[in-house]
Formats: sequence, C-alpha cells, structure tokens
Amino acid sequence: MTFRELTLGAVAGVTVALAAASPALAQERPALGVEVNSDENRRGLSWSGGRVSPSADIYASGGAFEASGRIVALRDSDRHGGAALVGDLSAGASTTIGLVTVRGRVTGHLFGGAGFDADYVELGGSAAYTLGPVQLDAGADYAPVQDAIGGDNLYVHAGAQAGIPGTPWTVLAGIGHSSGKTNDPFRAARLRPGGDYADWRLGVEHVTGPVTLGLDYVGTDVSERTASAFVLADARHSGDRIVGRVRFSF
Amino acid sequence: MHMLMIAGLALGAATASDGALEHRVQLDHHSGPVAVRYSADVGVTHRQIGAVTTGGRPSTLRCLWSANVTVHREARGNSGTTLMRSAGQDGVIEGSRPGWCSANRTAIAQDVARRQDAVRDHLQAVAQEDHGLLRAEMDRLHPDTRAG
Repeated sequence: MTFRELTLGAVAGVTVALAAASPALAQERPALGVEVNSDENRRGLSWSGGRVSPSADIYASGGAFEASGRIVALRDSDRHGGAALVGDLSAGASTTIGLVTVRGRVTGHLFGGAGFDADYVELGGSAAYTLGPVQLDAGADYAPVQDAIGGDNLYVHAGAQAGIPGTPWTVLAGIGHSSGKTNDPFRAARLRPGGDYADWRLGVEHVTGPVTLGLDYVGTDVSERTASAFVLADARHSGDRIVGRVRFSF
Repeated sequence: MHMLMIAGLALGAATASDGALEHRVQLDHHSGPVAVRYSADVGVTHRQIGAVTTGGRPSTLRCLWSANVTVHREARGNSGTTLMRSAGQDGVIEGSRPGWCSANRTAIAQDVARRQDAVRDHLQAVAQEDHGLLRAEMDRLHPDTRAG
C-alpha cells in the first residue's frame, strides 16, 4: 500500500466516522469554499511560481473531530517538480478548555503531475486563545524524515488576528520558522530553500456575507543567492510579496 | 346511578392570530369558553468556531448560531381562572456564517427573521401538544359536577 493510499484511506475513514458517529455533524454542516489567490503562498514560499492559483476546500467537524480537504492549482510548480496541483487532506481533533482551543492533526500533501514522488505527510499541533473577536495562536507542524522532502521539517509559528468591532475588517499578523535535518539538499530545498529560515505575514481581511477579500504582505529571510543553487528552491519566488485573495464560502 | 360525564375541552374554532409570533385559540370547556394565547420568545446564541488561517489551509472561522424558542401559554377562563405555562426548546433554527460572531450579529438577526415560518410552525406545534395538558389542568380546577 502506498503512502498516498494510506493517507486517502485515513482521511476518508475519519470523514465517514464523523458522518456516522456524530449527531453534531448534522448541525454543523460541512463548510465549503472556493478561492482564488494571486499566489499560492505558504510559509512565505510560493507554491504556484508566483502565478494566480484557484482552489476549493471542504471542512467538516463533529464533536471533537474535524477533517478538511483542499485542492489547489499549482500550475507546473517549480518547487514541487512541475506539479499541476496539490491536495491537502487533513484529519484531527480539538478540545476547548476555557478560552483556549487545542488542536492536533495529521495532514497529507498529495501532488498531481510532479516529476517525482513529491507526496509527504506532517503532524501538527496548535493552541488558540479566543476572546471576542481576538484570537492568538501558536503551534508547530512536523514532517518526519521522508525522501520527498529530503529529510525532516519542523515549522513553528505564532499569530494574532483581530476583528475590528462593528466593521467587517480583520487584521492579522504572523511569524514562523522552518528548520530541519537535511539528508538530500535538493529535495529539502522545497520547504527550506537554502536552509532554515523565518517568515512573516501582515494582512487585512474583509468579510461580507459569503465573500472574503484578503490582502497580505508576506516576507522571508531566505537568501536568494543561497537558494538559487537548488532547482526546487524556486528562489525567485521565496521572498517578499503582496498576496491577494477572494474567497466564497457556502 | 353514577353517570360519568366526559368533561373535556372541546376545541373551538382555532384561529391563529395575525401576529407573527402569537397564536390564539378559543377552547370550549364545561366551565365556559377559555381564551388561550400562545406567544414565542426567540433567543439567539452564538458560538465562534475555527480560525483565521492563511497559507495552505482553508479559513475555518465561522459563527454558529442557534435560535432557542420559549413558548408561553396564557389561558383565561370565564371564571377568571388564569393558567400559565412556558416551554423552551433549543435549536429550533440553526445556521452559520463565515467570520466573527461580533461582526455577524445583525446579519444573523436578519437570517432568523427570514426563517420566522419555522418559529411559527414550532409555536403551533407546541400549542397543539399543550391542549391535552391544558384540558387536564382545567378539569382539575373545575371538576364536572353533573353526576347523578
């Protein structure tokens, strides 16, 4: 059984279990969304080569369990071996203690059209403190040693989001740091171009009914000169940029 | 000879009032007609779920809302008897909206108003179920005396 089959099976199993075991799921129907980003940017790195990227997603929760799926056009991503798209399948659980929600999840990233076996999996945990329209969060995602990413990868992050009272505006800020052990520097450059690095993000979001508009400034301290030694680093698309997005939720 | 008389409430012409969240019926009881008014109070609770996420994860920030309906019954008989009762039920209508609850309260109130038919249906269903209980309460207060 391949990693892809294992991931699909695990997420499908959790989703079916959610639907079958939890009456709460019927109350909290799955949330669906379609989105267009000016760049599919994760942790400050472009996954779509700086090109516009449409995506669709689904998120379902039932009791303590939650599952999500997202499919994203990567448009022959240099970072991921020419992949045309990626599917992110995630299953996890959360619990709320007072004003703090703690989450744990496993996520499989499955690439379509890549020139090599690019799929990888990571484990994540986070805690979010919500008080009214203010949310603070911190967490970590760890991808164990895998050939697809040339070693392992640890991403630690923290963020703050605040809805401006009486307005549809949210302001947000976040920082993160990627590190890891490198077995294959060429593959490791996918997630850590030129080695360990930090990223940051400042943004605003405007929600009107089902429509969300977002504009973010994202940046990294990736050295383009160091990263340019590796094809998969896509060094030209690993630095500062403005990213816009339009989302329709239903 | 002891003759048992059925002293029930005969449901009179049940006419709903024009009021959006009010239901009025006239019931016939051996003690005299009983005017019954049912009214509904709607309360909305909000629950913030999910998170504002960017960079590879769908934004899951949503406000779940649930309308709780409390139906109040006020029955007045000719003798001046007043019988009151309240029954509440959670989650008569539910929904969700993307974003913060604090920014969505007005829109959610409009959602609830748009689905007032469901509240009215609930009000009438509760009223229908209450007739038996009301009959029993009236019988206890005004036992039938026509026994021979």
